[in-house]
Amino acid sequence: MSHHFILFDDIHYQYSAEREALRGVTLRLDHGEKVALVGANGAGKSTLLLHANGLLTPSQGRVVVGGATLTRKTLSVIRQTVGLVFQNPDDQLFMPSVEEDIAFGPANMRLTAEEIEERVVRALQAVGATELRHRSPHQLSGGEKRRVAIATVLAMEPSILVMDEPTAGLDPRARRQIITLLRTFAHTALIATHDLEMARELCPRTVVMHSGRIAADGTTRELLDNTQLMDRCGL
Amino acid sequence: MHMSDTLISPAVAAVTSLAAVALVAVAVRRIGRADRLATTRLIPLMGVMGALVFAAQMLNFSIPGTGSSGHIVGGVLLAAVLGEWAGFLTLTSVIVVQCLLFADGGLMTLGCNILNMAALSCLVAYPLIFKPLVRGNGSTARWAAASVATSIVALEMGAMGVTIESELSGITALPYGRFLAFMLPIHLLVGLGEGLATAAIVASLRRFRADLLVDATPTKPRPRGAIMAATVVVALVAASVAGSIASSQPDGLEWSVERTTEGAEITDNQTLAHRSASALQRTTALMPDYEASMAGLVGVGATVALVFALTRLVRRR
Amino acid sequence: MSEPLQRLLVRLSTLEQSQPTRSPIDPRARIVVCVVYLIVMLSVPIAKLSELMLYALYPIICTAEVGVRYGAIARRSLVVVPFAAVVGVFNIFYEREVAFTIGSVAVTRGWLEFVAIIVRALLSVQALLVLVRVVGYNRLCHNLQRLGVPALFVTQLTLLYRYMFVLAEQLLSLVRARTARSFGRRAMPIGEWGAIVGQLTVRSIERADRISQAMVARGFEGRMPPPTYADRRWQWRDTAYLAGWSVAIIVCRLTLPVERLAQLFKSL
Repeated sequence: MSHHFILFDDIHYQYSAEREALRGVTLRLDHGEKVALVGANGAGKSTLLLHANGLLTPSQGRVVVGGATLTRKTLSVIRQTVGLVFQNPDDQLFMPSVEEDIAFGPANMRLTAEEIEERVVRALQAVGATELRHRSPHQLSGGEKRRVAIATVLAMEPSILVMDEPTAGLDPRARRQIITLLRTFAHTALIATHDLEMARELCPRTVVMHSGRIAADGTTRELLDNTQLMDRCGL
Repeated sequence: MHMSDTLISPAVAAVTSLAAVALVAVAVRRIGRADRLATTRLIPLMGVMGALVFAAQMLNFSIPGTGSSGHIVGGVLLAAVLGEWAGFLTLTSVIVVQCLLFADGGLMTLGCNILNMAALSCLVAYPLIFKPLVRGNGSTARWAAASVATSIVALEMGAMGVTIESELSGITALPYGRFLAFMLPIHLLVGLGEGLATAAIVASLRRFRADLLVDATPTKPRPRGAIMAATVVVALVAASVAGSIASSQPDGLEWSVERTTEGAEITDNQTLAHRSASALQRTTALMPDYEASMAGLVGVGATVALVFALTRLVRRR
Repeated sequence: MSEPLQRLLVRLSTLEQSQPTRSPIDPRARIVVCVVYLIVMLSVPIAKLSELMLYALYPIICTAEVGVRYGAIARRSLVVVPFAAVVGVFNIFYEREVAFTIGSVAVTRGWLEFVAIIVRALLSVQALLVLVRVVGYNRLCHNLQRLGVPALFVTQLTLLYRYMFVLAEQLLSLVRARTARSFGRRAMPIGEWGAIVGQLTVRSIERADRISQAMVARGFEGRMPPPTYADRRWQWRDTAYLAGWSVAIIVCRLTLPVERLAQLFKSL
């Protein structure tokens, strides 16, 4: 399974002529690695994450997942390999019920009804949300929504998880549950976050972004204890 | 503007429903034919915009200079953000949800309501008036004027739709002319409120994200569009002014005529549709209409009460 | 002024909490019977009030069958009374022929028609309320698709419903942020209204783009996948339910039982 690496190779991205969000980001995650991506708002974290499964196309540079460069042809395979969990679960849970939402990805992959059902059950178990199966998204609490949003991505059985702020807006107990949950995952993971304590707990490695570039890349403890660096990058 | 089921006859319901179904089918086909990449954005956008109109309807605004308040229908706004057909389909979904969840308008009048509100505003008023008036990218004042003019025309046409459909159904005894004279001035006001509200939203969209408004360039150059639109507006305003004058005239004379002739005059006034409906009634009736009414009322009342009591008893066990 | 919004949210959440009943009848059969009922009921001339009142049996029996309180449905259906009254009041003025007298009080055709118009409104709303209450909104949409409503439109109905909650809450917080600084006027000045709703519009469109990204990330290519959790198959008892009710309703309309009975009564 050593082919589950993801490589961002000199990624540039411009939203408009005057606004360059990414200015040459190179980053490689190896199989099983959990990496925290930290940086101030507008540093380019979310933009980088959207490149991971081709939602944005770099204006320069390439993304390589498991040895395949991301192109139009490899797009659908890579979208199954890289699971993207968005920041706001309300934007990710768009179907009328939890089970239908989790089934949405597998159904798009044209699996049979039995396979879909199997995946829904497994994904719900993985996030400990089996009892939420028949609920509507708006009946869920913040923490439940977050867990179900993760389940919708797990149902596609990705080998790489990319998450945007998984603990934002949660109360302490729900936050703790999400951290415990993420620790059980064996996936290669790239987690963008402002929650430095979570980064300390979950990710041995941290990447610091600052105005569209990587400012530092190293062990989490060293970087987070470097007050000068943290200060310079607005953290 | 919502018509409720009580106003409508099954025949009118059938015809308007068929027309609405046909339009929805066309809209679905049109959107389905669009390129897939565009639909990945359009589908969630339609859903969210529908929810937005729904939420915005819960918030009343006051119409300047009148002391009354109103809420938005949203037809022109939806068309401006989504285009004619997607806007139509979205407003239709709003109307369906209002019917199913809030008893605003009934299931049988769904066709009427879709035609009066969604079709006339998104498929008629928007392409004929809004597009030619803004011509791609006009000034802010132009967009505002277009919003107001289009909304007024859309609502006046809708009000006319309501009166025509009611008249054809023959449920209300209010004569067509009187009904129209009552509806048009009211909807001139409602349309003004709708237009100003739409203009306010369009203005803030243009300020923050002008790219979010669909390209309003007329699909084919239509030099006559603006003239036509202006004519329609003038005609409608004239009609509603004339209507309000007519309705403000003293009715005393008519009242007394009615009283002396004991309603005989009313049968003469009835329309063809109304008359044929009552003729049909006479032939199907076993006896003159009201002879047995009181006995019937008491009997049915008792029966319904009995069944209700029985169901309660059964449920309690 | 945020009152209607709060009421909307409360009503929606109660609607959600009242889970659809576990009824053995296919929702499609219920939908069709409801439509048949409405068409037939509305075809009863408003001159025949007593005949019309017989149709109150359908919502009563339906609620009893699925164990919903009729009183709750009836109370909610009262919202249409003002609208129906506005329509019906003209009949009082225009139809002044005396239909019958109770003691010295003459009841005119207009009054009977007025009552009939209100009864029609109540019954049609009740039939629909029972249907939605029994089947549940999302299952209703799903079954509409099985009855031939285009998938795109059904998707629209479910998405609209889903985000209605989200946007109503968002709007409520925007309104609160504003009204905390202003006085509690009933309706907003249009400029302020436009600023708030305009802001919500911009945010909503941005939200729609994020939803689109979330959908695309999970393999969406512009066509909704077929529904995974299809409802049960059509069974014999569904046919029986459909046929039984339809025949009963139509026969009731054709034979005018109330009038026949009344006539019989009189001839005795």
